[in-house]
Amino acid sequence: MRHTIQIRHSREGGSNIEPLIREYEIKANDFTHAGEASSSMKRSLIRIGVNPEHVKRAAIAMYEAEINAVIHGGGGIAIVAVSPESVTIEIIDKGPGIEDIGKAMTEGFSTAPDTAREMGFGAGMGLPNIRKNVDDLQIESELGKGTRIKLVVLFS
Amino acid sequence: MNKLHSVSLIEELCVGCTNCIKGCPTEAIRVRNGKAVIDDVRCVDCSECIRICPYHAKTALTDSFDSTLDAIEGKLKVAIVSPVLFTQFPYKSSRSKIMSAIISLGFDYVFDESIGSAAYLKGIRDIIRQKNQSFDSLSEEQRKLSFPLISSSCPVIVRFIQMKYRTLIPRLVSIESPFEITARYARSVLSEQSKVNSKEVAVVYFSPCPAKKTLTLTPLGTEKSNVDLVIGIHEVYSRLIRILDKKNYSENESNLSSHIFLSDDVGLRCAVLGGEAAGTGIDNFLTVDGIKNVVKIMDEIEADHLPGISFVEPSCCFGGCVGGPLTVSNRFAATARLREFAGETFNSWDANVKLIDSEDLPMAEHWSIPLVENNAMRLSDNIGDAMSKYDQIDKILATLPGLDCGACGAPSCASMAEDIVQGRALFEDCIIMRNGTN
Repeated sequence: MRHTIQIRHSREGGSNIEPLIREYEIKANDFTHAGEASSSMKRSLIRIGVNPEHVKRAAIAMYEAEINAVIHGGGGIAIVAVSPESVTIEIIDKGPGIEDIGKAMTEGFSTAPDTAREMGFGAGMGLPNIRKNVDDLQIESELGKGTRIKLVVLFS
Repeated sequence: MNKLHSVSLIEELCVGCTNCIKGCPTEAIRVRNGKAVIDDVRCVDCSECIRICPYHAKTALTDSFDSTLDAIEGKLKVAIVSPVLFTQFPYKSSRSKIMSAIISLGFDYVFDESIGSAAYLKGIRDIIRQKNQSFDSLSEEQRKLSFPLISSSCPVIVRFIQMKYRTLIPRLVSIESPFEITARYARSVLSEQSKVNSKEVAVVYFSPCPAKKTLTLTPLGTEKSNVDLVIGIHEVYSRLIRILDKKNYSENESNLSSHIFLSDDVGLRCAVLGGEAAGTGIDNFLTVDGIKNVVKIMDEIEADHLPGISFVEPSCCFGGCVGGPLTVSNRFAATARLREFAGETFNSWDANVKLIDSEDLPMAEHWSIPLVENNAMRLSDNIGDAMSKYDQIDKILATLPGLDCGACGAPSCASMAEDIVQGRALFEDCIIMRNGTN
């Protein structure tokens, strides 16, 4: 069974400048280093000179998606593509998949194990928080195969 | 001095080692032709390089004692004293006694900076009260922006935020510095009392740190400083100790105790980390010292990871201003002595000493000029150009040895890669690449 959800408020647009693409590895259940990919992405955007408000939204959304991959997804990769107009972030894991995306999008709903909750994670705010901060969100998930989250933050 | 900031190099002492470039939080130093070069735009006067340099080749330019007295000859001479000065002497003394010794050095009036600190605290309490009153009517987003407030009394932190944490600028307490409040107050009291024109009043600040000197040259939030000259505490210390060491020295010796202005202990405690936070009247505050720790907390605030914290007191120096680079005494001992001064009873002082209590405090003025970002650390003003530079930096970085040895003069291979792309260094400056040993 394959679930897809798309939330789209954005308009299409492009520029002729090649996007900057970077890939990060996300390790499973490694809470000590969890969030490193998103903070590295954040530092890059700041250096490039992206408006701090947009940097912040992208960083929060990516952090949540990254943490989801750490807790539920058995680790995975993050691919960040920056253009002068936007940042597109894909988080891909090979975890168990999301059983009910509708439920997962509900604030407070969580399937996180106690080990994650003891670390202060797993409050059920991950996906809702991502939705709040992005201009475009696509979630594809297949049970037993994994989850792919693609989010976009526009710089204008 | 006519430089825009205070921390400087003594060229003949510099051997071109890499200690200072490594410790600089804004990567403002490079070694070029065997000597350290400080980037004036990036330097925030944190003094890390002064502390770290084994050859004492880094210094803080302040005004010398003798040149100051010459420069203000013929004017009404006012000294503003950082309370850190009181804590420097190895024996028990009193605030009024030390201040009277300053008068014997050639000053007409002495004001304790604590007056301004107490006024600054009152200003913070007002801001917190106003924010709390409007809190219920705010949206969730606006609430996140309301708190935490960040203290602006450490000018290094303010300049650091201007450069590295632009989004946090609106959270800074937008009130002039405590020593500026005290200076403005002194000018107004004296021009009223002695019927002299403000131009005939010269205000000198005895400072624990070079950043305060810089603040008088390039003020933050105001057009012009009320302080004319800044002398380091270390320089005035030796002169004061000669007076205080005299047997039976008493404050009455100067017969000018009515020329001493002090405040209660609330402002005094601001010389030590946590004193300001305690004076805000709230419990949900956070204090942090040392520039590297401050970075961590600023990251947390920027990411909204500190809900429930209403006030942050950051200090560049460990332990607060008692840890300033222009001090003499060990900061732990100084902290202990400050507690003794804070316990002084007012009736132990000469009756003529002017005590400014909470009702008589001067008004703390808000910044009249909005603070703007310092984009000295940006790659380019154009985002497309910055992206291409970013990409080039990464590609060059991948070819560099990654040892961060500093031999090229840059603090790390990453900053070397940036220097190459920005045209400030050559690939051949990397010794290891040049020798082909990697």
